[in-house]
Amino acid sequence: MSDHVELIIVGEVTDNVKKALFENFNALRSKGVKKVNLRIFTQSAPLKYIEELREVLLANMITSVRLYEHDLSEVSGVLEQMVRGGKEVVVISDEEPLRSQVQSMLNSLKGEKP
Amino acid sequence: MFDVVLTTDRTMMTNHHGKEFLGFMATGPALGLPEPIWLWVCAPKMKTDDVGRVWQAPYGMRKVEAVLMDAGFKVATIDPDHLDRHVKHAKVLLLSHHDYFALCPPSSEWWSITRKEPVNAKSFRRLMERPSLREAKRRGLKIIAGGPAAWQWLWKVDKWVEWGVDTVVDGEAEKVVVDLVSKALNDEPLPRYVYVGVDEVPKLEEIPTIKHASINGLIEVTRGCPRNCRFCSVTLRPLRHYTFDMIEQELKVNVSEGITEGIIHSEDVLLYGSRSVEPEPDAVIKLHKLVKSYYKKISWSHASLSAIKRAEEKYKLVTKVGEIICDDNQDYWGVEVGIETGSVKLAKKIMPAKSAPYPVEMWPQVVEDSFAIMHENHIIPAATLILGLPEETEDDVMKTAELLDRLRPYRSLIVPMFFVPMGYFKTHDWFTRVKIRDEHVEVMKRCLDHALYWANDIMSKFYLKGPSRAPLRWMLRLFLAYVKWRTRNIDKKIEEWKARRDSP
Repeated sequence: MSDHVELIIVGEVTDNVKKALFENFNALRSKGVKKVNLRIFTQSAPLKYIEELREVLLANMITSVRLYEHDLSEVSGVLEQMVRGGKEVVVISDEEPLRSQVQSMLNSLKGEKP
Repeated sequence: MFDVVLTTDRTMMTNHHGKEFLGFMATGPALGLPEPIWLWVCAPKMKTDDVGRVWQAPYGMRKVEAVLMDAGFKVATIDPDHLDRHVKHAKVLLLSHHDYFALCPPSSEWWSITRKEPVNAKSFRRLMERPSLREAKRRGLKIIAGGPAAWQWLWKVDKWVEWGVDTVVDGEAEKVVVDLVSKALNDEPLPRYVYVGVDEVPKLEEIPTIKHASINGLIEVTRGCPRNCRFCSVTLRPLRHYTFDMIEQELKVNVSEGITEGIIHSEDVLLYGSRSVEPEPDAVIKLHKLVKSYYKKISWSHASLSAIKRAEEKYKLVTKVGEIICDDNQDYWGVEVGIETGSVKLAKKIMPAKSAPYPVEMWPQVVEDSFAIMHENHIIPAATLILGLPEETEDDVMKTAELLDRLRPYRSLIVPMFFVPMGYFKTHDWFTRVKIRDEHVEVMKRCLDHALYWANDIMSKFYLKGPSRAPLRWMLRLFLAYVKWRTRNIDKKIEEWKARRDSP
C-alpha cells in the first residue's frame, strides 16, 4: 500500500461518515500510511463540516493530513486526476445513490468492471 | 514591497518591556486600569524600521520567515501598526498566535471568572476586522494561520469563515510552509487545514536558524520532551537538541541586532543534550557558558522540577549554572515550571514520568525540594497547576492545596490553570463548561494569597528594580493594591459566587 492515500467524503458528514473516517484513519495508520488527503465534496456552507470532523481531526496525532474542500460538481474531475496520478482512493459517503455513483465512477476510471 | 507578510496582533508583537512574565497580563481583561494603559504595561509597541519591519518578533514566526527567505520569497515580518500599507500589495498573509481566541489557560479562566473578554483575543479580533485587511481579502489576499494555537480555529469555524482564513496549519511548519505559500502565490487550490504528522516534522538539519532578532532574545535549544505527560502535545514530537553551532548562530543574529538579554527555550533546559531524564552536566554547562558569552542576562523558558532536584542533588548543577549566570549584570533568573497536581494518585494517571528519575510516589516531595533549591539559588519560578483534569477527585485537589501550603516559604508565583485538552486528551470537550468546584476555589484562593505574599518582594528586589523601571513598578504596585482592595472581602464574595453558581 502507498504511504499516501486520498480519502474522499461525498455529501453530508453524518455520524456514519465520522465513524467510517475514524476506522479508516486507524486502519491506514496501522498499514503504514503517513499522509492522508481528505477531500470533502459538499454543497453545504464552507467549513460547515468541521464541527462534525473536529473530533476525528483532533484524535489524529500521527498521520499528516491535508483537508481540501470541493464543490460536489467537481467529483468526476478530481477523481480522474487522482486515478491518472495513480493515487489510492477510498470513498466514504452516507448518501445513496451518491456513494454508489461515485464508487462506480471510480471503478470505471480505473478500468474495473462495475 | 513584500509578497509574503507575517504578522500577529499587538499582544504577541511586543517584548513586554523585556519582561516576559508581564505578557501574562495580556491573557486577562483590563482590570482596575483603562485598557490602553493595561496594554502599555503588558504589550508596549515594538520598534520598527521605516517600512514597518519589527525589531523583534515571536521566535516561531522568525523560523517561518527564515524558511521562506531561504526559499527565495520576498517576505517580511511586519508590525500590526504598519500592516495596512503592506496588505495593499502582499499576496499572502501568515498569522501566528499563542492564544487566538483566549481559549487557553489562563485566558479562559480570566474570561470565566471576570466575564470579560481578555485583551489578547480582543486585540486579535481588532487586527482581523480592520478595513484594510477586509479590502485586501476581497482583492484576493490569501491568509494562512498557524502557530501553537492553530487548533483553536477548529472550535471557531464561524471566525475562520468570516475572516477569510484560507488555511490553518497545525504543527511544526518548516517542511510544509514553502509548498503552501508557493500554491497561494500561484493561485493553486489550498488545503483548508493541514496537520503536520510525524513524517513531516523537520529533522534537526531541516530546522533553519533565525535571520532576525527574536522577542526577548529567545533561542530554542531543544524541541520535544521525553516525559510523555498525557495532557501535553509537545511530548508527541521527537526529541531534537540543537547543536552548539546552531545555537551560536542564533545568538549572533540576536546580538548583531541589538539584543543583550535572552531566554533559553526548551521544555526542560536542564535536560539539554540528554536522551533520557538524566541531566548531562557537561552539555548544560557548555550551553550556559556559550549563551552567557553573548547575553548579559539570561533566563530559562521551562525546566522540570524533577530535573532541578536531580541536577542539584547529584551534580550540584544548579549551583554551577548559577555561578555562570549570576554576575554583575544579574542576580536571579526566572523559569516556568509545572507542578500540575499535588496528588500522587492523579500524577500516576496523567504524568507517570514527570517525577523521573524519582518514583512518582515522591512527586510532592520532588516539588518541594526543587522549590527549595530554586529559592536558595535565586531562581524565581512561575509555576502552573492544572485544575479540572479528567478523573480528578475532591481529594486530589485538596492534596494540591496542602502542597501549596508547603510551598509558602519559597519565592515564587503559582498560577492555577483549568485543564485544556491537549496531547492524548485533546478530543475531550471542555467547552460545555468548566465546572469550578469548592475545592478548586480553595486552591485558587491559596494561589492568590501566595502571589500577594511574594509579589512585592519579587518586583522590588528582583524583577523590576532600579530607577529605569520605576514607572512600570509603580503601575504594577497600583494594580496589586487594586487586587488587594478587591479581594479584601474575598470569603464573603466566594460565598455569594457559590450561591449564584448553585442557584437553579
